[in-house]
Amino acid sequence: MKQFEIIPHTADVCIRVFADTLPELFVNALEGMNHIIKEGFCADVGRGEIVVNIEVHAADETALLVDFLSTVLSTAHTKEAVFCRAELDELQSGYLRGRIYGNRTPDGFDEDIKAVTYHDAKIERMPNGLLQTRIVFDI
Amino acid sequence: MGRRFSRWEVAGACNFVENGAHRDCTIIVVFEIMSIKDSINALTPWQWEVPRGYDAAMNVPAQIFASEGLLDDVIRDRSIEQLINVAGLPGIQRAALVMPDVHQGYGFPIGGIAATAYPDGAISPGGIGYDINCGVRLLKTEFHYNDLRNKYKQLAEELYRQIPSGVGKGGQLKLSQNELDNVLNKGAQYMVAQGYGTEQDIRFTESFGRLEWADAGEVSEQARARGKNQVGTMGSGNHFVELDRVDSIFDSETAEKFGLRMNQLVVLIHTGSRGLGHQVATDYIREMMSAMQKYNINLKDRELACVPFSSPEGGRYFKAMAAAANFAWANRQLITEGVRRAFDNVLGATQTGHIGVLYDVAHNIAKIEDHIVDGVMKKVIVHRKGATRAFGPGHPEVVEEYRSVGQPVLIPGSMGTASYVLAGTEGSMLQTFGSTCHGAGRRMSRTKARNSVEATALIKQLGQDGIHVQAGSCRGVAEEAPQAYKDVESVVDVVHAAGIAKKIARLRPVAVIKG
Repeated sequence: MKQFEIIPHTADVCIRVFADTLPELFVNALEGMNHIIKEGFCADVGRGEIVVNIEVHAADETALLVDFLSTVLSTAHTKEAVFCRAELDELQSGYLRGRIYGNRTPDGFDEDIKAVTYHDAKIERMPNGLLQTRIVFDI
Repeated sequence: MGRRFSRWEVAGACNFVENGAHRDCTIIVVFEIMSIKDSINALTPWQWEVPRGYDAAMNVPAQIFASEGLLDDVIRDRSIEQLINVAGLPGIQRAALVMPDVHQGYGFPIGGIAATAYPDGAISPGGIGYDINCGVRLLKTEFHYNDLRNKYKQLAEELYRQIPSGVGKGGQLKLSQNELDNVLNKGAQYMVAQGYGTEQDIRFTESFGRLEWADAGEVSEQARARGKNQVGTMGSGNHFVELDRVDSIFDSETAEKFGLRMNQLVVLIHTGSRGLGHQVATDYIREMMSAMQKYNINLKDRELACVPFSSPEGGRYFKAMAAAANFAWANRQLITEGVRRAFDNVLGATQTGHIGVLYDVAHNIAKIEDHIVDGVMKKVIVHRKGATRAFGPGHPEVVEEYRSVGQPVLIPGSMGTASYVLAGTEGSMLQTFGSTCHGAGRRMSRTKARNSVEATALIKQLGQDGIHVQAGSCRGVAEEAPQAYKDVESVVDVVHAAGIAKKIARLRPVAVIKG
């Protein structure tokens, strides 16, 4: 099953994310974002030298996904690291709590994602049973 | 909206990751939407309108400034759909507007203007954008471009050394919390007070490089953490420092007032508020999404999240936005000093001569301004997202030296093409809330540009055209290839013909420095 795909977008970058379950959707969206930030970086890193606890509140599960990615992005910029792995201890419609694991990137990122936008984001269950959403990143 | 699709076709390809392996995609489908074009009325050859009645949620008409050729481009993406949504903002006045360089964004299209009633109309961070006070500064040198013909490569390399660039890269200046507060509250004025530049630099900056209502206390710790080491840095993407020569003058009287002459060497700087501004926008879009229900505001796109300007949330955002705008002006001020240092290092300090600011403009910002609406002068909150202020002759906010000819407007083109210096007009005051376009506007996705442009070949071709490229990333060069952008000349010709800015001079690059 494909985890994400890049969708053409005029000025920015858009991905479509797929998963069987909500936690998987969050993990696959993170992988998609990291593919943009630094393609291939997460393939060869181990557990992660940096651990950051995260807690996010949002109005609904779509906003929660966007806010989760925003939190990881912001942490990536301040720590100068890519956070390849997330462990979610609690994930409900409007709340998540867990940890992200990352590694520093001395030679920087491939792409400067300014922000994760809410534009076109909507988590939906498709007729084939998969969960799906688009995420547009402001570059 | 009752859209009717006339046809579909297969176009393009993509790829995805499945179980860790890369795979090619199947089909991308493109629809031609007929009903929007049928509903657009031509007001003039340069101004088109979707009437208010097109969609029940519109409070005002939606207007597009474009030639007929550019209008087809505008219709091809979702710009007009987004503009129609903007026309539904609470308190929006006269019309929701886009410029000929428009392309789809998120919530608001990029290349747009929306003015809302002060004090209770909406303020929307999406109407300013994530890169708060992304803008342009033009520096004038005393050189004829031929004087330094053998030095451009060296200058480009030294500029690249003096001005940190690239994704997430920090600068030479590491600010304490107190110093960051001063930057956020006082902008370029603080940098000059610290010895980085002169009072003349500030005099020729929009708002004198400082929005006085800024409050550093409304900027989050996360935004501070992202920005504190980034003052004096260019960033990446479409940001650049460029050595240009003046290759055409269209209005000699105004050019003389601006201090421009044929074949003069000038320096163009394009950058914004870096990670700090991006985080401020993220923080407040999130806050406003939660607050909207309290004010009974329902809009079609979350990125249009807004609150009444007079609300506590609106007030906090306006102060934080101003702080981020000040950060961007401080940034461009420090980069100006980096340019001066680079010239000194290559030419010798006694040979550099005076490098002064012609002007510095923002193209992602919100201001409270006075404009005529329904024949009456009113205070409005003008949102400019990918649009430049263009105040006309006589306006009290135009600095005295330029007041008789109008405010300078700086329009960067794509790498390898041209940039323009325009002047604000009375026409912009009457038609577009004192605003005009901001650049060429993208027409090709970054992915497609990377896949279709070979960066090394492009750099070589530009070199053969007399343009030296000093870049940190081949990926960045490919993404910013000239063919990824609309023709800036077409864009500028429209605003000139529509009377919302006047062509003064054209600039051609001789060296481009990018992250």
